[in-house]
Amino acid sequence: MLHQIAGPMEQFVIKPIVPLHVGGLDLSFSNTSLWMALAVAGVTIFLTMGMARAALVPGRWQSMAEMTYEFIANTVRQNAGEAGMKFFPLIFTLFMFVLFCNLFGLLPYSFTPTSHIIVTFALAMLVFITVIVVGLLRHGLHFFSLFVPGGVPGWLLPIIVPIEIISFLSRPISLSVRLFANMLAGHTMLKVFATFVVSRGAAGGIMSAGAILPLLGIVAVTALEFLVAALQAYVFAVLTSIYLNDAINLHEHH
Amino acid sequence: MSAPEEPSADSRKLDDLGRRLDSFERRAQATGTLPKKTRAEPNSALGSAFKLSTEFVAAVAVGGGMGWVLDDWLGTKPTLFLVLMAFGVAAGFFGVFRIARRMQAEDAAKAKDAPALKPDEDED
Repeated sequence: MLHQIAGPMEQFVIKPIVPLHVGGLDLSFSNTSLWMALAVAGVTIFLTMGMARAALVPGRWQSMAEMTYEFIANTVRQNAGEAGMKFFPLIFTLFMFVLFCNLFGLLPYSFTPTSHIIVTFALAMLVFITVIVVGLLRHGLHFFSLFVPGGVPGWLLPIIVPIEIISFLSRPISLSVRLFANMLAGHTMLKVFATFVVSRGAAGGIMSAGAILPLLGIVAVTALEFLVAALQAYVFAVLTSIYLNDAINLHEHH
Repeated sequence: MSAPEEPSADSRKLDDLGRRLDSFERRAQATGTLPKKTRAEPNSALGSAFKLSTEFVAAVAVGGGMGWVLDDWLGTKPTLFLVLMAFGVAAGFFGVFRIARRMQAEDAAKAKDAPALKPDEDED
């Protein structure tokens, strides 16, 4: 009977919905495109409808929209200073997109675009390239002094500079792997528990009682996944503002 | 409802609301039903572990990867791979140390903000 149960990795398979091939490139509109589009639509509805009948004393929906806005605005101010607020639209957009992708991924029968490394890596590269461009525009070649921390004796520089360069280059990797691995691990765990429930339940007789433990496990892990979904979106926003702080303020930290 | 009267009525209502909120907060804090400052708590032990481990692995991977590509290009097969991977490991430790220090600073700031509210809850 086990062969009828979907494998735990089947939920991550990308299936084209509208096949589209342009010059050897597969540009099909797939389930991942669909759920990213839904996330964008969800963010847009959440924010515009929430603020459509904006009142001085906000209702429930309006205060949710305002709270997310304030929350990220405070995060940016804390980590990148007042000058970092210029990049608030970018960080807020990234946060909301990742948050809604993660949360929509928890709906039954949905797909989680952030469980694919290429999606999170593209977002991380967007941040990484923004940091480099902003840093070069604001500080010119002086931006590269980022790799030479102050107060280091000269004979240590041949060791410190490569270390700093490697840790700078590893940022987009750790940023994308963290988000992707969290989503992948959580969703796989849910499906594995679900498989246990079905296989135990099908055992019949007194053995079926064994299904209760993995079932409770699913409830707990689902709750945890909601936390992880929000937390990872927040971590992404925090790290983006910390990295942008380097580009804006070079050595001084906020 | 004439136009110039509206903002003053609104601001009077807002002032009144502010006063009522203040008095409510004072009362709630006096009776201990409201914690000093409620703030989202986005720090779990699992999250911290994940943050630190990916930081380390990413640095080692980037160092090793760079060495591998340069070796291929310059024909110095294992040398640069080993050297840059060692630098990657160092960069990984550095990064982990940096994050750990920031976490510690955040915890210290939190402890100052809300003393005795929750004495170490995620210590597993």
